[in-house]
Amino acid sequence: MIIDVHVHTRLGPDPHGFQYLLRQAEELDVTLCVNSLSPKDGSGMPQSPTEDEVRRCNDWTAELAAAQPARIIPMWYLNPAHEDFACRELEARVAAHDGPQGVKLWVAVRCNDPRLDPIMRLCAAHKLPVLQHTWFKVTGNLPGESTPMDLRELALRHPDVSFFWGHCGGDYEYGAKCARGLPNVYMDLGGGEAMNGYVDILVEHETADHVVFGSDAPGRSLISQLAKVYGADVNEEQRERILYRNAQAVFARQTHANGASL
Amino acid sequence: MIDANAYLGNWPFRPLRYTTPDALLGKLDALGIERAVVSPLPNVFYKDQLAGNRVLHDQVKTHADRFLPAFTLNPTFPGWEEDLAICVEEFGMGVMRLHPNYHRFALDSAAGNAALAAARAHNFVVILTVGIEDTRHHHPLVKVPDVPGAELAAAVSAFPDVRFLIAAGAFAALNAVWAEATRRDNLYVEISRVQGPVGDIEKLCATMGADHVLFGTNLPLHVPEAPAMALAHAKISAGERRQIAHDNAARLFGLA
Repeated sequence: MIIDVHVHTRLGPDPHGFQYLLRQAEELDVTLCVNSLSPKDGSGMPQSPTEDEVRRCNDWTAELAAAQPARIIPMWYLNPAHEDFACRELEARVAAHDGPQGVKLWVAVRCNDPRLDPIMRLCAAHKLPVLQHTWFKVTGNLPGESTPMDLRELALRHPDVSFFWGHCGGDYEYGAKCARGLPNVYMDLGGGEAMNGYVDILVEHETADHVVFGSDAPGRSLISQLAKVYGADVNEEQRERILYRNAQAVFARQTHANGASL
Repeated sequence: MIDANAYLGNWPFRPLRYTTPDALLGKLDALGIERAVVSPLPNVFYKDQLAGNRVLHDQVKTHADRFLPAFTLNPTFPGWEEDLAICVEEFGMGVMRLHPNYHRFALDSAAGNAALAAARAHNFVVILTVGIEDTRHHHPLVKVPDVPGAELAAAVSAFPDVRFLIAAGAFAALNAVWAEATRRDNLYVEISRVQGPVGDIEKLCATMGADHVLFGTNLPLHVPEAPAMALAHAKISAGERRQIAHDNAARLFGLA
C-alpha cells in the first residue's frame, strides 16, 4: 500500500495523464489524494481562482472521488483571499463527502497571511490535513507563493492542524531546516527532481515519522518520485512510514458516518 | 545496463554519495549497471579542464571494463587544443563532453564551432549537457540557466556527421531539441532528468523511437533509481527496453 498525498487532476496540457495515473495507481496499489487546480473544462489554472472557478475545481475532484472511492481521497482546493466563501465552500464539501479528505492551498495567498486562520480553524475542527504548496526558488517565487519560512509560521500558529509540507519547501534543503521541531508537519516529497540525498536529509532533520510520499503527478511521474524513497538510505520500517503509515495515521484521526477509513 | 551519463568527483554545493570510483561502482552493481560513461564533475567549475581530466584518467584506467571516460573541454580556455591532444594521445579520448552554459560559450560561436569541428575530426561522440540540476535549486551566487533547446538542435543539425547525446535534459527540453533539429539520425537523448510527466518514457519512444533514447543516471547528483524504475515500469516492449537500457549505448559508444 502507498498513499500519495500530492496528486493533481491535470498539470500541463495532457488530458490523458490522469487516466494513465489511475491505471498505474491500481497496479501499484496507490491511494491518490487528488486536488484540482483547474476546472474540468480545461479553462486554465489561475493562480488566484474566482469563487466560481474554485467551485468548479472542487466539483471535478468530487466527481473523481465519487467514481473511485477506494482509490481517491479528495483534497478541497480553496483560495484564502475569498475569506467567507472559502469557509462556506469547505463546510459544504465536508458535509457532502463522507470519507477521508483534506485541503489544498496553492499560490493565491502566502500562507502566513491571517486570512488563512478561519480556514485553519475549520481544518482543526474536522481534522483535515492541509497540503500547502511551498517553494523557495532561487529564480524567484510567484507573488502569492509561500516559502518554507511562511509555512513554519502557519504551522506554529495552528499546532492542532496537520500540514503536508508541499514539495518539502521546493528546495528541500531549506524545507528540511524550516520544519525541524514541528510536530504537526509532514514533508511531502512530491515534485522536484529526485536528487541524491533528498529523502535522507529530511529523515535526518524531521525523522521518518514526519515524511510522507507525494508525487505531484501527473506533471511528475509517480515512478520518479517513488524512486526518491527507494533510493534513500532508510530501513524497511522507515520506508513504510514514508510510503503510507504516516499519512494513514493523519487521515485516521477523522471520523466518518459510514465508518470509511484507509 | 549501460549508464550513458554519470560523473565522478565532488560537487561544491552539498555532500553527495557515490562520488568515488569504488562507491559509484557499488551503486552501479546494486542496480545491475555494468558500465557507465563518466565525466569529471569538478570540471564543471574548474577553469583548467585538463586538471580534472587527468584525475578522471587516473580514476578510470584501473576500471576500464566498467568506466568509459567522457573528457570535458572548454574551447574558450587558453591551450584547449593542446589539452585536447593530450586527452587523445595519452588518455585515449573517444567521447567529448561540453558544458556550454557553465563554461559560458554558445555552441554556434567560434569557440563552440571549433570544439565541434575537433569532435568531427576525431570522430568523437559529443555529450551536450543541458544542465546539472534543477535551476530553481541553484546556489544564489551561481544561477546557470539550462542550455536552450534551439541552441542544442542547431548544433546537432550543423554537424550531421557528429553523433550527439543530449544529456540531463528534462522532458520538455529533450522534446524541444528533437522538434527543432533538422537532422536527427545523429541525435540521441538520455533519461536521467526526465522524471515526468506520467508516461514519459513511452512518449519519448513514440516521438523519437526507442533507438534514440538511452538510459542515464546523472550520478552522483540524482537518484539512479528514478531512471531505472522509470524504464522498468514503462509500457514498452522488451526489445525497446533492451535498446534503451543497453543496446543503443553499446552501439553509440562502441562498447561490447
